Amino acid sequence: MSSNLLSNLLNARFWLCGPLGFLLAVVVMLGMALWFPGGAADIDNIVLPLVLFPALWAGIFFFAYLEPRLKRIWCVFALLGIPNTALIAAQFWS
Amino acid sequence: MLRALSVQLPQRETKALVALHGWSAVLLGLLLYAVVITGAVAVFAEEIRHWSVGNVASQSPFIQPLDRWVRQHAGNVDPAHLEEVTLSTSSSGHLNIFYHSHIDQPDGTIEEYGDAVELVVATGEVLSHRVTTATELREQENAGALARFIVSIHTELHLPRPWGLMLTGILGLVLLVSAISGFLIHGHLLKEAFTLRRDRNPLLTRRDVHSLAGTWGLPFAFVLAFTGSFFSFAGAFGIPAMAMVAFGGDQETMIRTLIDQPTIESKTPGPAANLDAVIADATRRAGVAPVFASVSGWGVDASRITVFAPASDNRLTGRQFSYDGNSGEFQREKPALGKVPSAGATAVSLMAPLHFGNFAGILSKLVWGALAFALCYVVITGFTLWLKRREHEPGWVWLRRGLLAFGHGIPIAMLSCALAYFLAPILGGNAFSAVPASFVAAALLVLGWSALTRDLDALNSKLLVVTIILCGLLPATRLMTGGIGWLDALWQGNLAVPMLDAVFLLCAVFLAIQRRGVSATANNDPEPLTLATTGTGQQP
Repeated sequence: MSSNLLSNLLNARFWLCGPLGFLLAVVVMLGMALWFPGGAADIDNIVLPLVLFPALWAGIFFFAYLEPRLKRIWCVFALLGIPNTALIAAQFWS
Repeated sequence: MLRALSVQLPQRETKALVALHGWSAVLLGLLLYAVVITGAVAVFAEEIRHWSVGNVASQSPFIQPLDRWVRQHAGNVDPAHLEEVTLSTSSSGHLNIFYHSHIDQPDGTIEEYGDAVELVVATGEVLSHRVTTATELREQENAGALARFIVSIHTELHLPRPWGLMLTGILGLVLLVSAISGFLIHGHLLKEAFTLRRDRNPLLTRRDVHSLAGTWGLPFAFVLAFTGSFFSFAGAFGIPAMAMVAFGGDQETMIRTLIDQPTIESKTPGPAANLDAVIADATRRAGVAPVFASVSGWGVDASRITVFAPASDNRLTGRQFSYDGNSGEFQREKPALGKVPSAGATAVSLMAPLHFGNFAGILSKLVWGALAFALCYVVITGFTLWLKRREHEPGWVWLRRGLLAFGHGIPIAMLSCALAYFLAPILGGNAFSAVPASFVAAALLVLGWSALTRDLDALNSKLLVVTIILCGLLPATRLMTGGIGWLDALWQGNLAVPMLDAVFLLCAVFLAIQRRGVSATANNDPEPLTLATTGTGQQP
């Protein structure tokens, strides 16, 4: 049991599905506040990312869990994470 | 048709999803069970409040003239507390008026502070008048303590904020994983929904029962998990984090923007509109009496009134109307969020009715409650299957004990806190501290008992007896501690009192019959289907 736990902790997929996947979902949700259209009431960019957070997380989680090629997972994480992180950082620095 | 409802995945993916479905439940399933069973009870929070309070005013304060009392007390409170005035119904069915201002807290949140007055609308008799914060007002109210605690144990598991919300949010995601993986691994959904093989081996029957209940409950589990995670995560970190990114950390401005309620800066005196006329107009428009009203800037120029009415006329969501706070003139019907209708406002306004099941009165609540109890059954049968397959591995005995402790412990703790609610006043205590204390004490007692008992079948039977006794004791205790009788309750239109008393008595009878069945099966059958399969049968 303990060796299984240790091997899981050293497994990249564990981190991608768990903490990193959750963090990515949070980053995408926050980033959406800056690029998602505000809609007629100019609130959709705030409200819809909050509503869609569970779906965002589930999508990221199942992709990271089921995709056999780790490189592809890292690429998708980078594609989603880097632009959203850059947008959030730019918002704070400006 | 059958083919359309079947999902065929490659073997590797199916195997991975089966492992995910099982392990996610094993690691967090007991806590998930705690959240779901408390949620199944919390669906009836309003009925529990009426049952526990007993003497609830039969008429809503919003269908009686209340303007003169609001006006009279506004003249007696600190003028700083007239920044906002809210009107709501108290736990005992009377009018709550809260004259308050908004105070910045050190942690960045906003607290409402002011004069809280509870009065009988018909006579103007003041039941209580306190200068306090909204949080204290909510947490230290005795009358609604039981219903409030049941809701809070479901939403936050009695843990401090934001950790309780974070945990229930994570459990919501676990339920989402279980629902999605369950959907994908059960290849033939339509077939699974109608398959129950009783005559073959018992393990197969158990698997069929689990799949049957799970298949029917899948859409509901998905909806509950999705909306529950939304509520937990939005409250725990979503709203503050969004405010940080989009509003430079100013949560109040973000909330006011979302609910379209700007701060009234004006200090110029102005007339206060007649609230009775405003409420009568809102009642006519909604077709039902309002449940909440808010006056931003009482007695100043540019004052604004918002009136909230519950769902009615086949609508899924409630309605909000905006009025001029000086003239009382109707301005517009407000969407749930923002100035004009939007996709975001519609999505958010659907979350509450879909999660609470309160869109069609008691009928939809009964359906939601029943489906939530069915979900508990799926969790328990899932564990039973998992344990059955590992009955010869001694390392899993901790899970068997945990299943017993949680399976019986949460209902016993909920029943105990209801008993404490009725007993606390006659023992000189207060309900708002006795209710959580008795829940924790009962839960710890059951945990300790489960940890120290060797014979798990005997423990299962004894815990069932405790549950039966508590169910039977509750209506009697309620009556003996001054609770309202069935006839008086019916006369007052409080159906919750006889209904819930009857539910507890029926539960006691049903569980007693179940217990007899379990004992008989344990004596005759080598593989009893009890809450905790303790491994007396043969490995299939």
